[in-house]
Amino acid sequence: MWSLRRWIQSAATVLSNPYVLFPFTRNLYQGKLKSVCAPGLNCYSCPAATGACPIGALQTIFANVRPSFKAGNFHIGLYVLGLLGITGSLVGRMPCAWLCPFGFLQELIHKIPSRKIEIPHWMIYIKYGFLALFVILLPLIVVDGFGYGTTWFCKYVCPAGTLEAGIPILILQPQLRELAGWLYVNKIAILALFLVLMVFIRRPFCRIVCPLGAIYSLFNKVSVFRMVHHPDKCVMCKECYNGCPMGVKFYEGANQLDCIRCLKCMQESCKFYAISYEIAGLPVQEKEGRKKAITADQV
Amino acid sequence: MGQDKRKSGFLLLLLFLVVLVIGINAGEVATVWEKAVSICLACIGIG
Amino acid sequence: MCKKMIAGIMIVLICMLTGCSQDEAPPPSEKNLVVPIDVAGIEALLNTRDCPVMLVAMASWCAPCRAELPILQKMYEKYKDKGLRIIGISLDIGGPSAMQPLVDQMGLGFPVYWGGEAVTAKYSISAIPLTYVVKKGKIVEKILGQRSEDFIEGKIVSLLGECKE
Repeated sequence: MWSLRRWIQSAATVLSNPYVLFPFTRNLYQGKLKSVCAPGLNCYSCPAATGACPIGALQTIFANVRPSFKAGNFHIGLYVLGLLGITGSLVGRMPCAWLCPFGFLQELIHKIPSRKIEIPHWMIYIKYGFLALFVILLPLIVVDGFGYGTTWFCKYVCPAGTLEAGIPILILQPQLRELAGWLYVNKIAILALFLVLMVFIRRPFCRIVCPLGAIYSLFNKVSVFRMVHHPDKCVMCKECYNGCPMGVKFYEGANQLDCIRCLKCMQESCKFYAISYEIAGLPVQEKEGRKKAITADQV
Repeated sequence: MGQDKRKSGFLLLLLFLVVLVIGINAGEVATVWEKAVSICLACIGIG
Repeated sequence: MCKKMIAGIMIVLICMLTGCSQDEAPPPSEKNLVVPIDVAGIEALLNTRDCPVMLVAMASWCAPCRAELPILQKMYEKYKDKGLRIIGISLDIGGPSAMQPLVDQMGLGFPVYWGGEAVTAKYSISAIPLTYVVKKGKIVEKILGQRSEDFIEGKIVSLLGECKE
């Protein structure tokens, strides 16, 4: 039986990509909804997408900063940052667990039985490098003779874009196939690499690369919704870590950068009520009856 | 400290609401739409 | 932490300022002005009985477009006396002023108009650059994406072959 979160993830995937007319129009959705960013990483060049990708939108704004300043438009990405900041201040990295289609895909593929591998902890900091370099600095700094930069993350890295747009667009527009060169091969290779990694590693893209997750993660410690760890009840059994889709060691502290507030540890893993959450500092207690009452002294 | 932490989320929320409104007033909504309705060929590895 | 952030912001600002200070080319005597056009205006331009027309949709922010435009200009100079007609349509949401600096700096000789959202919708433009080959008012071919010089020249030569009618 699927959990509530699986249903919400499925619904969010469909709601981020509900434009079913694309096989007939062979075109993207071009309505006004495209001016709003989806909460998860969802490529706006995906034929079914009806929202904008926040990371794609940020990059295009940064890449066009100089010409738009010259034309008197002071566009520096405040609209997109505002949207991300509002989400982040409310719930931190929660959209990663509940709304992001690419996160959902990674969890599903990880269900394929295999030997599972854990990544070294330092690798989770790589994503801040991708955010700083590929999303912000390179699009801002590396410009052509006319002052335009390029969308480095989309162009050279993003496997979600390859899966949601690169492959379907080439199917829909056969004419473009002859234009696919080494850049396309590179993007396919990155996607293939991550698809394989997903089998063995928990959410490898989210933890190592995702710049959107990197932005949301900065809000985890200060957001209105926060996780709470009760060390007095914790027996360090590490069940939270074993079940965590992000490989977070919750017993080492609540609201770590990679905690996506999926609540799996609280609802399924922890048998000792050592994990709860709070909203605006007000504790939300889990009802005792919901879980099989196994307490510390019974073990 | 506890009080501060309780407030921090709301303060940030307020801050980013202001940021959002400034962005909307600067006309950034249309800019996002403009890029999002066209296939970014350079982004998907073509051209 | 804070110091590092300030340093980072400073670097970005310095780079932005130095990048902005490049000199602009002097304006040509006869300026090729980007002027607004509507769907009816485009139809009128295309509805001619003479040589085929290349209608090129573009935008200032589109990198493949900026890469292709100098090739189009080169072809235009080479074949305009043989009857080649190229019509550029800018889809920039910011109006004609967005494309104008590129037209000036590249010294484009063919006319570039500014079309709004209605033009994007009417010609179902999904990606740019997009070139429509138009004969006697009818779109006969759709070329999507940035093409090589050889491809464009081959296309033009074959088009001009039909120009004798």
